[in-house]
Amino acid sequence: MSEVRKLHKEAMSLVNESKQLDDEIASGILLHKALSIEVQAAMILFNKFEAEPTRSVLFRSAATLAYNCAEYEIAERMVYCGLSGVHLPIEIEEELCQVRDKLLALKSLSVEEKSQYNYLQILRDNAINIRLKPSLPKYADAVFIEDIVSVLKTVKTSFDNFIRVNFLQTFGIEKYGDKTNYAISKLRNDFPLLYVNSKFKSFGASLSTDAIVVTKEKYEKDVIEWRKSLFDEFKNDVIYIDYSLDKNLKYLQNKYSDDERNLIYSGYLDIFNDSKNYNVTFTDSEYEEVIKVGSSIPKDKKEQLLKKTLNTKESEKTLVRTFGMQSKGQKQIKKSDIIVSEELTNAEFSYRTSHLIYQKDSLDLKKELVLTIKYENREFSINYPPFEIEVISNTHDGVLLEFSKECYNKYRLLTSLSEPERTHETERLLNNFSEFVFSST
Amino acid sequence: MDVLNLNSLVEILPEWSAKQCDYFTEGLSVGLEKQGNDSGVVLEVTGIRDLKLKVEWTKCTEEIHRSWKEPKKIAEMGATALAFFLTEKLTEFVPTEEALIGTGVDYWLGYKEHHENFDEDNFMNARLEISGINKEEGSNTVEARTKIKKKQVQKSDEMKIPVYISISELNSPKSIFIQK
Repeated sequence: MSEVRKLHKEAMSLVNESKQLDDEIASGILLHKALSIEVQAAMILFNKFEAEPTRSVLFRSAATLAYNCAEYEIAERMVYCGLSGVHLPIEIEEELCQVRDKLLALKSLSVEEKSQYNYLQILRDNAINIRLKPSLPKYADAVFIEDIVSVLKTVKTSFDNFIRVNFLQTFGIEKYGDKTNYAISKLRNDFPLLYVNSKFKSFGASLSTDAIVVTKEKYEKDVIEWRKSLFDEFKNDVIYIDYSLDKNLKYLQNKYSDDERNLIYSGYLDIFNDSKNYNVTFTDSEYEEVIKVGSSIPKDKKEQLLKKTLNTKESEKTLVRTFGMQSKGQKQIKKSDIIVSEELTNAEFSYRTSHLIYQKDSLDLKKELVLTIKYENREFSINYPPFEIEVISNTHDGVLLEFSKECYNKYRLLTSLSEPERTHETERLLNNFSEFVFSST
Repeated sequence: MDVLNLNSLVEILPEWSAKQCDYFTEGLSVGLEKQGNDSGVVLEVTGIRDLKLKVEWTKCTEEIHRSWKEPKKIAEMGATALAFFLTEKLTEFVPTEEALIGTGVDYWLGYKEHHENFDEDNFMNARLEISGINKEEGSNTVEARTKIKKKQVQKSDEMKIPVYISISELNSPKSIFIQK
């Protein structure tokens, strides 16, 4: 085996080893070692121009490693050494240029900005890239803001529900018992879907989630591992899957129950409807190369995917937003004055209260409690992490009632604990309650 | 019909450690057995050349089976072993390196030692993309994977070095081995 190959092999073995480590510092030390050896390997071929593509591949590899180790000067040197070759393969040349462009972008940034930039790059590399174009270009290629918000929210809702479904499929309710809902809600909050890039194409947005870099130590290893593959699974099962193929629908029917499919797909499939003002496509990171066209899903296919759930939920009320003319003092808009009404797949309301009342019990508050009520998939929910409470109901009033009930019960339980029964966790919760609660009756 | 003896991988890859080769072939043997196949099963290969190969191996012990739990890993290692055998059989290259950084491919291939273009310093001359399935199900088929892999390597079509794609299914068993 040649010296170059031996060195390269050693460097790659260190890279592999570093990937197995959870400890970031130890992993970084191994990567730096790998970098130094890979630079040696590449430099042996510096004058051996006929050794393409190996020569440029090694310089590209050393440049990428150096970039990942934040050794920007070495990275720059490796890029230009690589580019100085002859007959280098176009793809490798492009990759070397990409590293060069990233280095150029970093030059004007402060140290802190550099680390933020690198972090964003990692998220962008793994993102779902969505492009919206108006179906009728009434205002050239401009897209309505409410359409953008609606599509992004729908994808987020689908992803949030995907987390719930997959969490329950993987861990069941055994792992966290009666705290399962809270655990799921915490996971959603700790690993949110993030908006990581955008461009006017006419509107391109990249959505991603961080399940790799910021590992939350409070989670057990199996949960962290589960999260790592979740976003890719979401891409495969929701974003990129071809809904027009029967075999794919069958696959989804086997994998998810009727209720689970309803949670994940019901609102999501609507963004592809022909009646929408926009067309959705999923693209590469530049919003140019189309990976999947979001065509309208034929009715029969939609029914196959959501069949039973649609039938059982037909009687349920839906939330409708209405625009129309309303006279001063008139409480409700007249049917004849309605200009347009639209069924909502999701909505958010802010609710302020100074009393939490449940049947005969109530909590009087010192200051106003501001709650966000979410409406998704025909359900209203309130998630209030300071009190560790998450409640769901079919109605707006119902969810408020549930919230009051939970608050009252939890507060009474916390205040009834004797000194030895109190833990750091219950103390923290009680403090959070005490910030608001004036008295309970 | 040619015979593909799984113990011979180490001969094809003299510069890889015996341990690594055993790991790939063990994954393949376990995967084939878990799908109800016994030594002697016929692998149907299509693509660059259509051929049938009789696959032979030593039956895995219960202990070995117990140590391979993850279906994804089994499919991945099994497909990798098959891709290596097929690369050697159908091309002028042998696998030299796992592609850990960049390019979107799985392995680099180098010219075989007796090939006129062989240069021990220039050991990355072609690329190999691998994908494996235990059993075709729903959208998870060899054909569908081939399409995805073709797209995955598309970004470097202009590169003047060959790209091979190898997709295997361990149930039937079958492999598609094509040049992009």
